[in-house]
Formats: sequence, C-alpha cells, structure tokens
Amino acid sequence: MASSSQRLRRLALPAVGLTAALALTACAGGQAAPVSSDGFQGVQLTVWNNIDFEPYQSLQKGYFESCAADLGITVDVQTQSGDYTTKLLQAAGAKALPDVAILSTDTQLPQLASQGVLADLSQYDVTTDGLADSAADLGRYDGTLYGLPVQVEDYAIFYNKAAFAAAGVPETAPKTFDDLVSLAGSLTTGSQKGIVLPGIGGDGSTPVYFLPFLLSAGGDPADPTGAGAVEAVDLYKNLVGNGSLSTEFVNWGWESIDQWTSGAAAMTVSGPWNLVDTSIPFEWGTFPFPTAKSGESPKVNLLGYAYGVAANADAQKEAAAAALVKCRASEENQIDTAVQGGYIPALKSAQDAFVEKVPAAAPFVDAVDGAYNSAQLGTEWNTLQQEYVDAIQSATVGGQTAQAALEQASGK
Amino acid sequence: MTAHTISTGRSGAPAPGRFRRSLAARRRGELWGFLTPALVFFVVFFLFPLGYGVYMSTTNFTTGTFITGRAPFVGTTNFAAVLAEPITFRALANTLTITLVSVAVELVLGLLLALLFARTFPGSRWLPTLILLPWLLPAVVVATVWKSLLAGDGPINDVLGALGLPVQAWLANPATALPSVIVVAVWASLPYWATILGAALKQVPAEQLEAAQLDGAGAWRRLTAIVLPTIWPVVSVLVVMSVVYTLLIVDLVLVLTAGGPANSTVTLGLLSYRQAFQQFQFGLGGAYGMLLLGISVVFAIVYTVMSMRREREE
Repeated sequence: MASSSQRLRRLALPAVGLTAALALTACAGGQAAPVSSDGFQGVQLTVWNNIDFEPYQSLQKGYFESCAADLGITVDVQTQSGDYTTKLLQAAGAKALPDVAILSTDTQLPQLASQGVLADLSQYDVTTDGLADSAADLGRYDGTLYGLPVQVEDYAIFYNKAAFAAAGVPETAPKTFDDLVSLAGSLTTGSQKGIVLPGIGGDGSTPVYFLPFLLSAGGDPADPTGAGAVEAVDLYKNLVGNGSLSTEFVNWGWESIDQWTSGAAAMTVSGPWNLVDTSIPFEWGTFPFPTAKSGESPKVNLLGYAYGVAANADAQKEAAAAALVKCRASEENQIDTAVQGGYIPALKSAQDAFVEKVPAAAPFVDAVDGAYNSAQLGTEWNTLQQEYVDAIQSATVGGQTAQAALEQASGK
Repeated sequence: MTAHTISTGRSGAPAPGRFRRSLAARRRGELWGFLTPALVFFVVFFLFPLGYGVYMSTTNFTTGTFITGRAPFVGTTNFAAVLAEPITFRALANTLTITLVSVAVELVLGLLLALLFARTFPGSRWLPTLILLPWLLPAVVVATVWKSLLAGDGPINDVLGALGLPVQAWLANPATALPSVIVVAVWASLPYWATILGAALKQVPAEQLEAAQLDGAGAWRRLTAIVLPTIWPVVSVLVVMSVVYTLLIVDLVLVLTAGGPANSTVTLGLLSYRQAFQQFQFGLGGAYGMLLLGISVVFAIVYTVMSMRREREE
C-alpha cells in the first residue's frame, strides 16, 4: 500500500507546475444548465480512478455501483494505470473526458479546470459543508468548486515504540526542533540511527517531507532564503551533525522508510498510508511535527484527491455525474476508505470517526485545519524542489551553513 | 519503333535501345527502392529528432506547448540562460572528468584483460564470455546493484573493514561520489573494451611476434613495437566511440546519486533531463542537449577523419 501511494506521488509531484503553463490554454467548455436530480433513469456514466491498489480499487467500484443503483444510473468504473495526468490531458484534448474522474488537487484538478473542461459543482447540490477550509480549498480553482475532495494526505512523524523503550526515553512528542535533535540523539545506537528522512533529488520525496519542517518554522515555501527555510535546513544539518541522521540520507528517496521498518532508524516521516500498513513488524506511534520555537503550532502541506465532473453539453448527464459524486463522498464511504485504504477523510466528521478507529491518525487529522496547499506555488514549485534538495545536501554533507547553502542553491 | 519491333518478328518484345534505357531506369528504380527505407529511417529517426531538439532549444517550449502547439521563438535566450548558471560549468567539468578518466582506465584495463584472454589457461575459453555479462545489463540495473554495494553498510565496506582499510558512505560524500560513479562506469564498459580489443589482438601476426621473440625482444618491446601499432586503428575508433557514449551519461548517475550529493556528480546529460522532465522547461533541456551535441560532434569529426585515414591506408 505504501508503495502504491508513493508511486502515485512520484508521478504527481514533479508535475505540480504544469498548472500555470496550462492556465494559458484556458478555453470555454460546454456549460450545462442545472436540471432536476430526478429522472436519471437510463443515464450511462463512466468513472475513472487511478489509485490501482487493493482494497482501494474494489472499494471505489463498490461505492459507485451502489450509488448508481440508488440513482438509477448505469456506471462503468474504470481504473487507469500508467501516466494518469497525460491520459486526462489527452482525453480533455479529444473531448473524451470520463463523466467523473478522481483528480489530484495539486496538478490534475487545476490543469483541467484551467482548460474549462470541468463542471462547476456549486450549481448542483454539491457543497463543501463539513470540510475544513483548507480541505475545501483543494477542490477550488480561481474560487470555483471544480472537484469535491474526498480524501487528503498530510504527514507526521512515526516512531518505533521498542526503540524508545530500549533507550529509556518517554514517548513524548518533541515540541521544538532542538527537542527533536536531542531525542533523535538519545535514540541513536551503534546499529540504529535516531531518525531517517529522504534527501535525494528527483523523486519528489525530499521536498515533500521537508515542507512540514519549513512550514512549522513559520517559513514560506516560496521564499527559499527566508528564516523558516534556514531553520528547517539547519534542523537537518544538526540531525546529521549529532549522528542521528545518516549522511547516506542524501542517497535515499521514498525508499528511506525501509530504514525505519527494518529497525535501522527509530523515527521517520511518512504519510497516512503507513497508518493501515499491517506489514510493519513492530509497534509504532505517531507524533505531530515540532516547531522551530516552543509555543507555536505545527503546519503541514496538504494534498487532496477530489472527484471532478466533466463539463457536458448533455445537462442531464452532467447533473447525474454530480449526484453520483455527492453520493460517493458520503461520510460512511470516507471512513471506510480511510480505515481500509490509509487516507485521511476530507469530511471533519469522518476524520473524527477515523481517529476513533485508528488513534495514531490524530496528528494527521489535527494538522488538516490550516494546512498549506502547495498547488498555490504553481510552476515555481518545480524549481524550488531542486533548490531545497541542493541546499539540504550542501548544508549536511557539503559543509556549508544553512543560510549559505540556501543562498547558493537559489542563486540569491 | 513499333515497325522495328514488328520487323524482328518477336512480337511484344521491346526494342534493344529501349530495353537498354529501361534496364538503366529499372536499375535506378531498384537502387532508390533499396535506398528509400534507409533514407526514411534516417530522416524519421535521426534528422527529425535532431531538428526537433534544435527547434526546442530556441523556443520557450513548455508543457502548455503540447496542448496549444505554441512555442514562442526566443533565439539564443535558452543558451544564455544555461550558460549563466554556475552549475552548467560544474556539470561540464564533471562530464569531461568522468569521460576522460573512465575512457583512459577502460583502455588500459581493457587491453590488459584482452592480453590475458589471448593466453591459454584453464578457463580462457569461457571466461571472456562470462565477463561480457556486465555489458549486457541495463545501466539502471548496474547502478541499482552498485548503489547497494557502495552503501555504508554494503559489502564493499565489509571487505574493506575486514582488511583494516578505511570505510565510508562512498556515494554520500561529495569527495568520493564522483570517483565512485567513474568506477561503476568503468565496470559497466570494461567487457566491451576487452571483447573488441581481444578480437583485434587476433589480427596481430603470430609470426612477427615469434620472430621478435627469437630476436630477443622482451614482452614490453613486443607490445609497443608490434601489438599496439597493429591494433591502433581499432583502439582509436574505440576511444572516440566511448568518449561520445560516456559524454551522454545520464541513467547511471541518475540512479546512483541523482547528481548529488551537493551537485558533486551532476553531468550535462543529467541537467538536460532535470530541465525537461523535472522542471518541464523543455527549451532549457534542449539547450543543454545542444551543448552536449556540440561536444560530441567534435569527437565525431575526429572519428570520421580517423576512419577516412584508415581507409586510405588500407
């Protein structure tokens, strides 16, 4: 499961910046007039999903078929593998988008919305009521609701309980970066590092896990030489400096979690897919991110998955698709997907239910409100990602100060 | 002409003059028939991508271009942009270092291996085939295997530690990452060198070597006076081809270090890949590609001149 989520991320993240480029290509799509939600009998719809691991795939098929039966719709749920973004763009170009499609909120939703090929969901009985503002905003483009977020992803610190017990360290979340450095130092032994983080360039893992530290230091991701960025890079430097983060982290990407699951590191940063990963061979817990200074609140970056409806000249079809999305996004389905698929539900009520069932999800859920939507960085994020990787590497194994490394990497 | 044809009594047979002309035309037609597939292949798979690369390097070619088809012409702006980046010169230095060092080492070690396999010893028949295996492996597989071998807790450090030699995370240290990449590049290409040079050594006349030996020439003298001059045409072509091949190195570096740590292993090919497929600036990626093309063309010219000279000598 973890690998599937990671694979999706690998495909999605490098393409974040396509959005602004494609914004130039905006054109008017066919907008249908709203129709009554009654009378969907005989309507045939196609749904695309691209999350192709089980049980996620079967769950989605089940939800849509059940909703379609209730609405009197015939639905064909298809799972697309491979480069989903390209498939969506090609389908949009050929005016052959599916009626309903799952869309990543950082790349695919803005790309399609900017081309005018998605329907405005607010004209139907689809609302973001019950979602945190940060989650609801993920489905909007230029203030219009083009996708209804059903699940989100953010990040937290995972720790191995046995490692804490062996080191005689209480399982208390580190409040500040200094606390984290000192905690990781206490957990470091001859055969185990205190923490593992990705540090390689290219696969998107390093900047995604670095952003929560930068944001929790009060930094702005668009300002690579700001105080928050410097404090976050300095944290990495201090972790390597006290021997609790291996210098080899600069060679590790998404696979860095293997160091944690194999017991070679006591802590790591990961996503919600780990919450339901039954293959982890030890007891573990989760912490929220620490902040640079005590008394501040941690902040994370948020990625969402939303269902969008293709703008269709056939008003009845468009309305039926919107009704199908609304039904699919029910609280019950969101809880079910979270517990079985390892995603954070978009609905706050479903988040609470998820935490009841999986208490370790609390740091993920707590961080959703006020989280940062990295889609707002547009194409700039592509360049920034490499700059942050270069700075982290130069500061940790290249011997530079955090400030100098960031200035050099960003050319400022 | 019709009357002439009738007068021969060979109904339906063409006139001799016409027959000669049509044979020549037919021969030309056949020649073009055989040539056309090669020309089409050359145009479609060589000239078009090359021309498209040149075109991309002079335009602001982004992902939007795929949808709109619009790529504004920007002249030499992309080249000015990449040449203004300090990392370009670091990549150029790294690319040349990897190329020159690895080709030099491959030449020496490849020749030594070829000379070894020219002797008869237990296993001398199947060993050359066996050492071809690394060359048959895709670069991604080679890099993945070597990444784990060179890891801090990898087998190479285990051996070095057992011998009391210093160990370290070879790919994580900016000082050792580039030499490590060169070692892997050499390992991957060495079988190719050994095989080609081994075949070239078979051209060395055994009588000359015997005669020289009888005249008292030592092994070194025989190598420098007879063996090397005989195989030199092969060596020179091999060097030029390997230089061009190594200049384009991307996959090996991408998997081993992704250009890190701290850009210590970044190459021009990698920068082209980064710009095109991570930052979606296809114009800048094309500009890096053209820089590489320019360097490769210089070596290709050397190769062509050498080939022509060799043909003249033969």
